[in-house]
Amino acid sequence: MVVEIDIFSGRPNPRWRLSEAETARLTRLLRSLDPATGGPPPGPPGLGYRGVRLRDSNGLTWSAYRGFVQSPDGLLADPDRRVERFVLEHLPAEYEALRSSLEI
Amino acid sequence: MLKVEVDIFSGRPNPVWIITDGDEAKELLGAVAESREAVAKPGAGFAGLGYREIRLSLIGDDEPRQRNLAREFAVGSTAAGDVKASIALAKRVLDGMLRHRDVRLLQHELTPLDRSIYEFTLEQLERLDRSPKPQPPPSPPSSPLRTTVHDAKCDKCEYEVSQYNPGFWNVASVQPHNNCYNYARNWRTDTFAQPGRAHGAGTSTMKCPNVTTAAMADGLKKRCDCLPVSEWPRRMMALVIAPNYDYHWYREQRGGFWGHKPGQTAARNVDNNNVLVVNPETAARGPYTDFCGYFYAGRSVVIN
Repeated sequence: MVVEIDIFSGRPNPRWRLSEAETARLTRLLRSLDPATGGPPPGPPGLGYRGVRLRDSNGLTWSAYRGFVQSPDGLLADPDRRVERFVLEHLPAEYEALRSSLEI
Repeated sequence: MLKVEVDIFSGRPNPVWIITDGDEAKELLGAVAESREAVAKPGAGFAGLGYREIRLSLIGDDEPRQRNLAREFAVGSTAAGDVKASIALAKRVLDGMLRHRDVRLLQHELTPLDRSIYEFTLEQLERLDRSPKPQPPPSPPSSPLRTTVHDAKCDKCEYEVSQYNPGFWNVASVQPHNNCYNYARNWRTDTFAQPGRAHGAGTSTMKCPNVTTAAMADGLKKRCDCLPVSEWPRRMMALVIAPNYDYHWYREQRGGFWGHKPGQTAARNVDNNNVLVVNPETAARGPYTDFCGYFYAGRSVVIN
């Protein structure tokens, strides 16, 4: 699975590929989420951290931001922001300097 | 009486004399009246350095006037309908310069009516006679989508503001492949353009001086370094920096606001507080805390 942090405006966003083991754990995490209820999720601001994007080998995509995950099957609730935290925990060393600005 | 002024100098007073002889003035005005295409509105012709025109004016409120002739007019002017005839008339007026130097004027202290001034003026008039008709200063092309404005910070500079058109950018085939630099320069490259990259001058140092230098390698000019009309359409761009992380650009639009496109997201005209961006220096910009400055981008600016 390919992870992208949507944060930059001018430069290309940080992007990297998860290992098979990491992908399997993240997939299990995504499958454990319940459908969201209530109003629409908060929209990200234009400038700054705008969430994380995931793309699997089949081209399916997920977008996580502030406790909500937009999946191919609909909007999911992630009140503890586990998906975003998972990405943060697997941040490659080259992007370590970004950690403080990710607002997760 | 008729006052004659040769508009030719920049620093010292122009050569000036008064035709006091009523018959001579009447004869001259008669010749002017018979050659209306040789006459121009004062100041309407060439306005640069060197010879510009000869202005004639009636200096009393009870002077007899020729029909349809203004109290002040110009001959030897590039704005005349018949420039050749205008120059011929100007030479006739100039011929009287030395005859009328006896009427002393204050200007004669610094610009005496002597033979060297006469010959200098005559030489320039004859040069004008030999040259093709000068073209008026070029004007920016007209376009319903663009308006040329004077820069409020430096009025001598002009640039174009264009109609806000986010629909061009906010489609699947364009939006993910073009960033803030593409939007601000108004050039869809589909390469997520980077300042300086087209000229081998890109930077990975996210600070104002570095990104500024990279962008100027693409041809951007700092504000008030005016671009000529040949650079039309000329954009006004603003650069901000998230120190050590990233840069961001805005483009001024028609209507007094700024448009921008954060990364792969949609083009917009509002800031992080969803407020119309009327001033990129004070707009809500998230982590892009450093305001670097304003730039002009003319048509020769190439990005990639």
